[in-house]
Amino acid sequence: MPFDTDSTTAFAGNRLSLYTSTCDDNTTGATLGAAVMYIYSTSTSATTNITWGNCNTGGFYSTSMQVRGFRQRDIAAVREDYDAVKKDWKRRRAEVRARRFLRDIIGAWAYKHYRRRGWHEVRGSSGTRYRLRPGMRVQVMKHPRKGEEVSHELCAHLDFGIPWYDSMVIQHLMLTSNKESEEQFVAVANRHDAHGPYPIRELEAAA
Amino acid sequence: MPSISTPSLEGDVKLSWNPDNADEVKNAKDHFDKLKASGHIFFRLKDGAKASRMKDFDAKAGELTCEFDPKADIVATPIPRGG
Repeated sequence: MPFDTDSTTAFAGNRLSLYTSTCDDNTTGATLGAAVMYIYSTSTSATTNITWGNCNTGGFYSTSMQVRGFRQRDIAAVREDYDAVKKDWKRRRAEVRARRFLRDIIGAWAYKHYRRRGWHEVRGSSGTRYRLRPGMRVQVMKHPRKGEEVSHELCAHLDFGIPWYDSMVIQHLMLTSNKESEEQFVAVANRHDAHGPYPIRELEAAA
Repeated sequence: MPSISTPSLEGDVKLSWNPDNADEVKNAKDHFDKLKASGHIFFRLKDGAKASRMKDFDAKAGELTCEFDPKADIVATPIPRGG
């Protein structure tokens, strides 16, 4: 999940407050007359890397701080999406339609297996096995041939509000169509530990 | 009938056309071009076979392009974002 720079943010549960600089140019460290800090951050999975800098000197320190956790607004977005699937009849109707679309894409046989097992397994062009589940991260299986052990999870999906099954369709297509698409999916996805954590208790239990 | 399916808030939205009808083909191509301009990626579906990413090499341009195929079943989607 990307981290917003240029904001003052307090991580719930982590009690960390981050302040932006007032530099005009965060990358070159423009001098403003007073020492300020700027933040360069990258976020992979549930970890945000933060590097503190000093605009005055123009350089920055590599002192990194790793913060684990979910941003409040991401949790809210996931919760809102989850609740919509459970309670909003329009969303539920859209999910039914999207599930039919998934069946058309993966075929009746694979769909039948998905309904029985609760996950749809595909093999990427790289030979990696992936398990797709609606509303949950893609599981990357540890062994390419068989086995139940999950190596890690990848999270990449369409915008919140679009049916979970549509995201599953796109995950299926990207992972199976060709090597470049699979690599693109892996590149855009955030990597998470196997089996969670998830910001919603119900998903955590299912993971 | 060939079609372009696109995920949406209501589930997938499908635009179908008659490949023998020039107006419908043009309408479908315009729709395809709009989606392409907005950064969508495309997959061509094949009965009984796995889908393929639509990327054709244009020898003159020296680059990969993605051209509308009026006879294909296509899925168009924005690139998923990391979550």
